[in-house]
Amino acid sequence: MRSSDEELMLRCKNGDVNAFELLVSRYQDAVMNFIYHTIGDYHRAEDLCQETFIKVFKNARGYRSKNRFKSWLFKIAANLCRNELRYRRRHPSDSLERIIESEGNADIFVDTSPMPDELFERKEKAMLVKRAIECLPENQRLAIVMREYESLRYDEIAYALGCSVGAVKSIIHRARQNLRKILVRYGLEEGYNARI
Amino acid sequence: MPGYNLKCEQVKPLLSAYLDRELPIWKIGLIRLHLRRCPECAHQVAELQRTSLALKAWGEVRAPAEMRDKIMRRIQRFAARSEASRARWKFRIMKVMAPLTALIVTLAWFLVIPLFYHSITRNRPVRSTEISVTVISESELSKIIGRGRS
Repeated sequence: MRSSDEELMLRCKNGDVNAFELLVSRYQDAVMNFIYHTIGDYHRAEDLCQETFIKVFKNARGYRSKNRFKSWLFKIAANLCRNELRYRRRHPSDSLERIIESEGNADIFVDTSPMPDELFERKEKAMLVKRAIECLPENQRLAIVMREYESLRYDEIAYALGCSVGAVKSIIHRARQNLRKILVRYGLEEGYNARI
Repeated sequence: MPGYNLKCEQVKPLLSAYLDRELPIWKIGLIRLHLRRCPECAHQVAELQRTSLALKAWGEVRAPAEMRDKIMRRIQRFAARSEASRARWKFRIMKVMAPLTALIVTLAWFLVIPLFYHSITRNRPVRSTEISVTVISESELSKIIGRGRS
């Protein structure tokens, strides 16, 4: 019978490393996906993904079983992403090289297309969406990535971001409106009378 | 039903939550009613939906195959370091505490306990019915008994 995340985490608190390995297997893709879509850099996302799980293990004693493990895990990942984004704002030249390198990565996506034109078009669209998300303020970026790419519920996003559910509703709505404006400017979406 | 008609300015901020089904059922119902009558809000919902779909163009990624092993190796190293650190601390504490404990016990035995005993016996009031005991040797005892017989 499959143990729940909370049961595994309680075993980790008692030093059970095998239980922790199971949690890593369950969530490494989700955490990697979230961090990558938040910071836009695959290699740095790998580092932060590892850091997330190391922090989870080190802070296992602080975990309370009344909190869902997934929310707690994404809270830790979101904090690391915030630190990374703030670091990049303070050191833009450091991050520029990494971004240029990461934009060259062609084969990191799960879905691939057999046709070269389709592949090119898909990569172009992906790049435009990536840039649109990068234009968003920090909280909007985190919230929209958690919702669109990880399908977290609003209460889970609220816990991860440390705000209320009402605030999450507002943040996600504004994020979608801002993304729409940017995507219309990039030509990915058709404009409407801009009465958003 | 006048009480159940939502206005556009009430509905618009809730459209994303409506799309994500993150509202109570009764509110979703009211918004649906509003959208049937309001083409502008209905259009906005459609746009938000298209935006949401457009984001899927930036595909999913997976963690590299070796990530779990890397994480577990770091965890094992961390666990081993923590264990070693705990053992070192235990040893340091024992190294300091053992002689300290011995010193405290010794001091208590030779200084504190006699002081307490001395203060207890000195301050104790003398009673008239108190019996004092003197220890005498066997030879003295036989002399006393002999005197008594004679």
